[in-house]
Amino acid sequence: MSERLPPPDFNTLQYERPNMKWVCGKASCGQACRLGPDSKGRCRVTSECKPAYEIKPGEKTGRYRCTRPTEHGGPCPGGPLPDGTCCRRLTRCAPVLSLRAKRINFTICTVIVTTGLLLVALCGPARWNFISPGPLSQQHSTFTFAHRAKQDEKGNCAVCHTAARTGVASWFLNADKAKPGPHDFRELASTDPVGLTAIDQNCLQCHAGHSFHEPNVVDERSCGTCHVEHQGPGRMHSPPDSACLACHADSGVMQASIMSAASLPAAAFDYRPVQGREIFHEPRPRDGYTRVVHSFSRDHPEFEFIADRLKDPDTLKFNHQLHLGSTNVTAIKARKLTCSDCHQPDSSGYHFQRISFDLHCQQCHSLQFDVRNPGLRIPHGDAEHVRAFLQSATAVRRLCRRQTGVGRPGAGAGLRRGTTGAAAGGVRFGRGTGASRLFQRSPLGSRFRAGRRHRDGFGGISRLRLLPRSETVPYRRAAGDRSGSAGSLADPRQFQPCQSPRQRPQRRRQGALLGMPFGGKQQADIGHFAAAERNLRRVSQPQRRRLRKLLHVPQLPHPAEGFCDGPVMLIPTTIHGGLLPSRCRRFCRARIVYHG
Amino acid sequence: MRFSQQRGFGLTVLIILSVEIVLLHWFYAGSMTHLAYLTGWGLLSVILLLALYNGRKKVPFFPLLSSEEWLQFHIYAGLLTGVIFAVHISYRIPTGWFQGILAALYLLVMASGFFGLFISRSIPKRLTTRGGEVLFERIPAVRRQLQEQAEKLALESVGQSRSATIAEFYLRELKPFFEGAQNCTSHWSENASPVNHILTKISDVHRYLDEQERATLEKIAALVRQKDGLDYHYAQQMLLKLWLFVHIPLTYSLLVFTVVHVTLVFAFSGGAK
Amino acid sequence: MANPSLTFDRPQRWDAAFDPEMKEAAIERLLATAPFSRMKVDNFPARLPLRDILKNDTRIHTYRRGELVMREGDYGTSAFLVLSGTVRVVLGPSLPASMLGRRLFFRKNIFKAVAQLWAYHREPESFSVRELQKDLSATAGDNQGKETRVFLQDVPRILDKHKTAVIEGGEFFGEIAALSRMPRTASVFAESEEAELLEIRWQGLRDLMKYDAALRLHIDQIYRERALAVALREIPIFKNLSVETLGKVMARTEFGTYGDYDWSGEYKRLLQTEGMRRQEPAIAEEGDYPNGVILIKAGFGRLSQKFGNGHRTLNYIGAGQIYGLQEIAHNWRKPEAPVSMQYTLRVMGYTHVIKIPTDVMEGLVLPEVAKSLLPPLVTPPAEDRVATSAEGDVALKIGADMLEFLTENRFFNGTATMMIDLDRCTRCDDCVRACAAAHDGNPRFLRHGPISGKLMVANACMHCVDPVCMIGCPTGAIHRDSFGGQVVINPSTCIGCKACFNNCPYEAIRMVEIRDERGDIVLDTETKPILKATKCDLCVEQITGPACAHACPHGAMARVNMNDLDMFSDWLKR
Repeated sequence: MSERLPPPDFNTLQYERPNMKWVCGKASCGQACRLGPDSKGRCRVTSECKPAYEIKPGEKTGRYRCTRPTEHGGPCPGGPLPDGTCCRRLTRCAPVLSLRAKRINFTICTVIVTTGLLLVALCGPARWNFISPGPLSQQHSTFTFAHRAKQDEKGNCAVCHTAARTGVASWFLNADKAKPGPHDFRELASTDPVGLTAIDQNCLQCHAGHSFHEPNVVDERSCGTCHVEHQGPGRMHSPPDSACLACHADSGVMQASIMSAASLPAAAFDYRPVQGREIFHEPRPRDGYTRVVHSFSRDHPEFEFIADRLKDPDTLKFNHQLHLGSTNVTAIKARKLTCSDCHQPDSSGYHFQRISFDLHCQQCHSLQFDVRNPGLRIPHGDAEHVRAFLQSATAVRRLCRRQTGVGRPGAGAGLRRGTTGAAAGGVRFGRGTGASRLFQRSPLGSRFRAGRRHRDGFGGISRLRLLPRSETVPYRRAAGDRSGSAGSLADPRQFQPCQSPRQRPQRRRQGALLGMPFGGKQQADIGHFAAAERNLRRVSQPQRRRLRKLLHVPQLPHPAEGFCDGPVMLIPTTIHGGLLPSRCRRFCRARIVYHG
Repeated sequence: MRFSQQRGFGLTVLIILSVEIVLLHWFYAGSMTHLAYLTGWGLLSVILLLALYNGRKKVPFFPLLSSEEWLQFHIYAGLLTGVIFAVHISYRIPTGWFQGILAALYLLVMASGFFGLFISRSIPKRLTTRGGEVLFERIPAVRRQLQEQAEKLALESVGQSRSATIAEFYLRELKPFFEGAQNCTSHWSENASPVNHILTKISDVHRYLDEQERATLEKIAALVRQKDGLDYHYAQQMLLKLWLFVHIPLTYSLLVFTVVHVTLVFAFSGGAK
Repeated sequence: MANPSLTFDRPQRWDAAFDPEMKEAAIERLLATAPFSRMKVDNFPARLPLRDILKNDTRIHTYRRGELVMREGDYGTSAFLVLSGTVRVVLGPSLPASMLGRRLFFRKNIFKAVAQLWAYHREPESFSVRELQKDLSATAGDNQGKETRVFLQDVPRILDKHKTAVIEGGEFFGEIAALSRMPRTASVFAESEEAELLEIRWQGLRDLMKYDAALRLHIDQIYRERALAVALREIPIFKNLSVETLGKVMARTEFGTYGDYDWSGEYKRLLQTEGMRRQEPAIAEEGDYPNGVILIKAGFGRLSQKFGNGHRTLNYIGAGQIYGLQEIAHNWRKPEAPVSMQYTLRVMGYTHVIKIPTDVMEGLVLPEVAKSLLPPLVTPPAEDRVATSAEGDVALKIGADMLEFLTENRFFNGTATMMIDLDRCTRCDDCVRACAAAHDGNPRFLRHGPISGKLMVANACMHCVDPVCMIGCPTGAIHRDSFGGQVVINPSTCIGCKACFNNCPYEAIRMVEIRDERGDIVLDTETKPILKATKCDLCVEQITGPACAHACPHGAMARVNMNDLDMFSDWLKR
């Protein structure tokens, strides 16, 4: 509205009385009478005037006179009736309550309805459903639990809540007598731990004598401080950390617990119900579980490794499916591998020992490569050790060659062919046979016989047949022997690290150039290897130097004999199924020869 | 500036108390087992203080601080109960029928309080701008006056201009408009289209009228505008009275429920024998 | 659409004679009595002959022993001349309130306040039988025709306990109040068995004084003796003058009345016309030579300045305020750069002023006054700009519209004007209900009234500085409470004559039909309802003060003193 409306005219001679309870019934039509209803809500109106009887001087009898006030019209033309009543009777209205009185009535009605509904809900059959603050946990919703609710068939409330055993009317008394009660503000505000309460007596009916916790508990805390019910269906929530720490962070309480434990028999601590499960009884620490902790994440004994950020150094992704699922992988006594073959508990019986190659894998994946030197194994684990060993393996090879004549033309004595044939697998070590007895049959041998080709850094991989098991040198590690090194022939720290693998592809190509005799051959033997050596020897010195540069062959303190500077690594195919891990290949620029 | 000072003071006290309460709760939640009982008593006492406002209004002649001060306390203490309520229920949605209804009642009271505050601050300005100030209880009398005037004009036009156009138009379109309080919901949403609709109809009738009738129709249109202003006042003043029909009865329901809640909570508490 | 001008017969001076039944014989008798006998008939103009003045503006009363002639504190508009008999004026201590038809209002203590919760009548305006009987006996005086007289019950005791003075035949009394519209300074009652008094209403007295030098001198002298010294001493600048100087000043002081004494009646009638401004004669104009300091004794004056093509109201000044002092003091200090009057002073309704000529000020007063009391120098306005000083310009504080609204409706009269901020008021009626609760279930104001912008001035008694309602109350029921200054009505002595109801220009007084305890309207013997006047009494009896403002939840209402505009502007800007 761009223009303000003027206030309308109305009669301003009368006060407005919003405090009156009753309003004239005709007010809603705009014709409220000036009398208004009385305080009890009855219309007072009778007639428009109250006739006055007057006797004028000289008259014997008087007459009635209309006394309607001027502002309401003055005396009416008809005048009062002869009997003194006004001729204009007014109709009575039906007084209505003022809006405020209506609101008061509405409020009272609301309160009554609310109280009524509450009474119906609280005294009716759905009482327990109505007042329950939330569903019970799964543990307290079982048949067993309900069975014990003998007092109250309709709900489980009476099992725990004494108040539920009596009627609604007594709840006020129950509330008043509760400890702490409605008036006990000091107790309500106290931060002291709450001892056993009345409801806990009901808990103990089933869970007698702290049967869910260590029996050497000295501080009787109320069950409800840790185990809160009515938090929803499903499992009851675990106690929060603060509940545990309430006792376990208190050294006094822990000390007292230790002393209390001393007086209890050991059997008392065997409290966990078996219920058909296979329980592993771990040995109990000497002082029990009374170490003072302050936080789960910082100093809880069992979780310290998280706090200390300990990491499992063994990052091998072990193929459990393959080892345990396959019937071809067998343990020593021709039975399938089980968990306990590798996962063995330690002396405390509390943890499992670390899996180590030497203890658990060596049995099948041997690092021996010389049948005549069973003690000679390529070290495992420490990369430095392995590197050093490899570099000193040339010395081994030297050793081998001197002994068996491998590598010289015509030499081959000492190596025998496998006698069992293809099925057994075997090793051909050139023409000689001696050294071929070195190797055990790989548990994965069948896969290799299938003809998988592996490529090494030099353009070809030789596949060698494997010796049958019976011909292998048995090897077993003494229990408890955790040493991983076979005893290197030289101090590995003398050797320099090898170069980066980036050059490998080039070297592969270059390797091919050198006409290595390994490509595409199914079988190779040391004789071929020797042939390679011979090939290189034929290369002139300047070519050799160039090759060396091309191949980035560094000068090593232990140059290979004659034709190459790098060591030669003799890797049995049994190791890692014939696939050398990249980290070996990465640091070693040696020519890698797989042989069985 | 007094109003802004009032607001500043109230908000400062509210914020300080809220922060204190939240911090105390966070600090003592672990160690005080019965913290919920304490916050519950605190909540109940503040709610009772709030509910006392109704009683204070019934004894205006007592030196009990002015009603304005009480209302300021009511508003800010009401907001504080929101904080105490959140702390009391540990910021979780209540489960269970009884507690759910209790929480719903509380939230309804709070929401109606917000609504009441909002309309108490916004409607008066609209009423003043619109003009046509009138006492609520006198509205029916003024309405009757306007109706009688309009009817008189419509009837007179028949005699004056020997045609019943206006009278018939009045009977058809305007009579229901003048009869009672109209278009309350439109007025609440500041929607002027109903009266515009009628005024359009009036201007449509113009073409069938002569000079005298047009003058009469102008007067009737003026009455229509006055009646609309009166309806606006009726609707808005009625709303200012009706919201308390929600806020106050629900408060008493809430108090009844609270009494039962306290009984239940203690009767079924850990310490109840 | 121009407002059709209201036409009515111009009210003639003597349309309503003071005493329509004044007989010729009485007039003859008067003319033969002093001081009228000494007056020269020729001095009176043809249109205002002495005879007619006596006929129309005077009335002869006969008072019996003990009858009250006037009450201390009443506002009256007549002076009295003793014709025969003696009257006594009570000098001190004042007569008790109950004798004067008044009631002392005490604040209720806490128990009585608590009792209001249940001890109130359930029916509106209801009196108990006992109270009603008391009423009727209190007003049972001698009803001479339509007049009501109140008797003092025990004259000898009064004479014994109170110091009185006798006024005998030929003496005037009550003229100060009549002329200046100030409250009666003392109560007067008749002592002799029959005392005959001539009541002269103020119009007659004014004319008599105008045309008869002796009377004028006499009244002048009385005025100076009795009232002027006190009045002057109230002003800071005259406060510390020596007695001698003050005497000299008083000798030269002039006083006068401007405007229409009966302004309230005319105000109501002329409310709708636009000629309001024309009805305000100027006492002094802007630009005039300052020829005297004007001190307002009663009534109000409007200060305005030329603004555009009209006049802009800057402020209104009331009793005790000075006009012209700043200009005269400036001229006295800087005679080389004199200024003229900066503002126009117009009469608002009625104004009674004291004027002190410039030469008296410059010669006698200003030299003796301390420099610190002198007002600051006037800075003459630049061309085409209205100069306003921050103090003088109230329009800056409250807005020009508001100022015009207040002055046009004469709201500046109020010391407790009920202002409702419509932007905050939720129309909840808590204020009316609180008022009702504090008054036995009967509200005493209507939440309705003129609106300007967002402010409404409700129909609630403003407890005016110049309470026109009090003029003419026959029983003294309406009076000013001596403690707080509120104008209150004593319901037991009110006879419902409607004098105050008719007088009040703001519709603050309402007549109610009183009822008995059952709620039936009480009728008199002529079956007419008995009426009583009711109005806001600022809750004199309540501990909390005005219950209305105390009960408003949104701070939308305030009882504002229009004479303290700083507080008002603070409230507006809250």
